[in-house]
Amino acid sequence: MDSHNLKTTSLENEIAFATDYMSLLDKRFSNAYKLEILHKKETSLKHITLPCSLQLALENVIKHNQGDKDNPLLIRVNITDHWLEINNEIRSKTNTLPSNKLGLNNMRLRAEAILGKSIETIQENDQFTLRLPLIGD
Amino acid sequence: MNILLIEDEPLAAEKLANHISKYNPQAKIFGPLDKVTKVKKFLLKENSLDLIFSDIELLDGSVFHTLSEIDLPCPIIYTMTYDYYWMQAFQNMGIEYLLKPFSYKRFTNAMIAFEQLKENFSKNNTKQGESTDQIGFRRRFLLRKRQGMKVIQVEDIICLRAEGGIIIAQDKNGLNHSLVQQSVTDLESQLNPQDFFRINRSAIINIQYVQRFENYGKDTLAIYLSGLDEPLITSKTRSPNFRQWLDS
Repeated sequence: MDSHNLKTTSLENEIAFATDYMSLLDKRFSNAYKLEILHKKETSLKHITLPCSLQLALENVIKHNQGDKDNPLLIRVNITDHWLEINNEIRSKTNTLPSNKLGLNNMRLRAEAILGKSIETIQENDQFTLRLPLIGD
Repeated sequence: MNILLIEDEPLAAEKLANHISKYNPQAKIFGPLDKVTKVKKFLLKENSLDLIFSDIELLDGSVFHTLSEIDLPCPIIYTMTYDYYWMQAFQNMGIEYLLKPFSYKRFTNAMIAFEQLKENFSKNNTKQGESTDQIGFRRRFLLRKRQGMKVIQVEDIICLRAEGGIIIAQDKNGLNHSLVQQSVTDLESQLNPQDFFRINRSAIINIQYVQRFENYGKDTLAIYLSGLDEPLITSKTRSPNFRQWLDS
């Protein structure tokens, strides 16, 4: 939580924070959501990104998608040289209020202002992917 | 007492179940149900519930749509982490709204409110039951006239109507009398249901004076009473019962 006052943080911090957050969610929803983090290059861990952005991205997935204890929703985090990608199968919740997209819009503005690079969202078939920019140091 | 828990967070459900057991060790707890689809399935077959505790956002969506589709067997106490939904809660059989996290004391306040409501409603039910069981239905009304009191026999009344805040009884001679009674509902319970029937919110008629009736718009009937020029119109919900009553 110290990173709250910082403009940027390292990917390493960000992943540690999001993993902690996810273990709280596992307790809260009895593993109805599952997090998987893939990263091939150790160097990319020194890249910088927005503090709490990964946590916000996870919150966003949970807000809009159904969880299921017997068939958990898999949230994949994929780290490449330039992007932190968060991907999930779309399992929309039923009869919820229409989204005002405030969370993603705020994140977009923050990324543009602080990192000088925007976020990207890709919706393909039944998959949703959010890409957060990673900046090399 | 049978209580259903609708809650997608196991820890919250466990805490609530502990509160319930502490408050009433005999309570039988169903659930917790963590998905809207399960709620629907459960409520369609189970109707012996006395009370439901319901979270609002479940793993697969909001609970309101499903609850509004079902004829609920009992009231609901909603539990939620924010107050955004309180108005919808009251439109969906809600009698209380517990903001999570809530204390045992706050929980007991909600339970006491529920029990008071239950007691008051059951009191009313027995009162109505008693009056129909008794033979002591009203046989006459006392009318206050300028020259003193007058008596009118119920069998001489064609119909009773609420008009402009007072209740008017029209007799077989075409005369109108205002009654001291205030409420059509009270009058309905005082009159023998074999002779009198409430056809809508504001009118009660006497079976002796029914001449004929005909369809009037969708699901309503126009009833012609002897001594009355204009027909009286039934309300939609009472039309089927009117036919039954007349045919019995």
